[in-house]
Amino acid sequence: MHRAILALSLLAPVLSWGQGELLEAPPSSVYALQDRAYRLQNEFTVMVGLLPSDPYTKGLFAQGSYAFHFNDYFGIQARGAYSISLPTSLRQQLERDFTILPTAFQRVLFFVGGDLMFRPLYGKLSVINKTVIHGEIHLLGGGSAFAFTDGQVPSLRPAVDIGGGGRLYLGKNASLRLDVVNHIVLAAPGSMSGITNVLAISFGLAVNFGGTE
Amino acid sequence: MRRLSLVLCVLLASSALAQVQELENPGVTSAIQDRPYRMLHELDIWVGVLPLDAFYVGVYAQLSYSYHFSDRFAWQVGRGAYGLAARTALRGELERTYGVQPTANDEVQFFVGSDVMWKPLYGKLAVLNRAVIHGEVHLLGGATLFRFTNSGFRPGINLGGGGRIFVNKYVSFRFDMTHNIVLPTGGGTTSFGNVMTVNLGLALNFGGND
Repeated sequence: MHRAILALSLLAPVLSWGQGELLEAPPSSVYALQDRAYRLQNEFTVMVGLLPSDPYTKGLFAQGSYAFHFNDYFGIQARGAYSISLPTSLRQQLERDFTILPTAFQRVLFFVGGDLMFRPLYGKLSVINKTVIHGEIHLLGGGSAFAFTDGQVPSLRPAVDIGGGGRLYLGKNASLRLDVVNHIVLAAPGSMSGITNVLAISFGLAVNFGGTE
Repeated sequence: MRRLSLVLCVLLASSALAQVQELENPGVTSAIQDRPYRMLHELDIWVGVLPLDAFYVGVYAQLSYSYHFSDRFAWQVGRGAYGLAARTALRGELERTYGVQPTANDEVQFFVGSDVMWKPLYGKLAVLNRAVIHGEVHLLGGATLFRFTNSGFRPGINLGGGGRIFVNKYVSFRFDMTHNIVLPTGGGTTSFGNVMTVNLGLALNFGGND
């Protein structure tokens, strides 16, 4: 009898050990994906950004946005931004040496819009092999209304935008976000002006409410 | 003696069980996984753009070789690029709209350089929660010698960064962005220049993997 007990007791650790081996992933093979550590739902973002593509005027803007995330992959975003313009040396030279009037240069005053957000990539990164950070990559596509001004007369023009960005999670409620979006600004209704490209690069802090388990 | 052996056997079982429970808990990071991909000798072929100059966009092809000392540090021993200039509409706009004739623009013809590479971030990304891809993020710092069409050879220092997505242990895709501050020497220039490079490359790795 006591031999049977001894044999059973010896078998028990072997079984547990075998289970442990099953649970441990063999190196370089993926058999399961971990669940996301962070989930988003109601996201408020404050960003600062740059409009670098105009050779005459660079724009520096502040943007606020709200995004609602339906699930881990799709969200919708509304945003509004106000821009201040910084004249480039080319514009200064044209105004100074060639007496071109400042009103000859159109600049972005503000823009508002909405985007669909698709977040196909979520991952974690090891930092110098010491700690782990979580992040994701997203794509954006939407529409905007751009207000331009020459310093005297404002004009409103529609735009479509496409872009993308990334996010690094600081915790379940906060993350850092970088977006790069190209706005294709169409001509104002009844205007002879052509298509203008406005590139927007923005960086900000996002605060999330809900979503994370 | 019999009791002692029984107690020891039961203890052994409970410690193994505790190990299993630790492995089952996915919410706790207890260890960082080892890298499945390691680099040693890296050969790259690139295409890139120089987007910063308002008068032209440089389009270039580049070749480079890097030696990776460890998982974190590497030396991009050499890189060389040759570019073609695609003129923007600004020159025509200045002539047409403002009646201004711009002087000849100084354009990048080719450049060679070398960089130190620091790779602090390595990770894996879930693609639509269905597949996993591995990648890393790196920072670059180095020096470049530019050949301009008007001012000739001018040295520059550069800072930048990029990312890599591994396809397998031999092949990866790499994306780099660097900003070169061109020094005011050579060709009678008295001001600093700025040349930004944005490039996408195919990297082939030889050695380094276990």
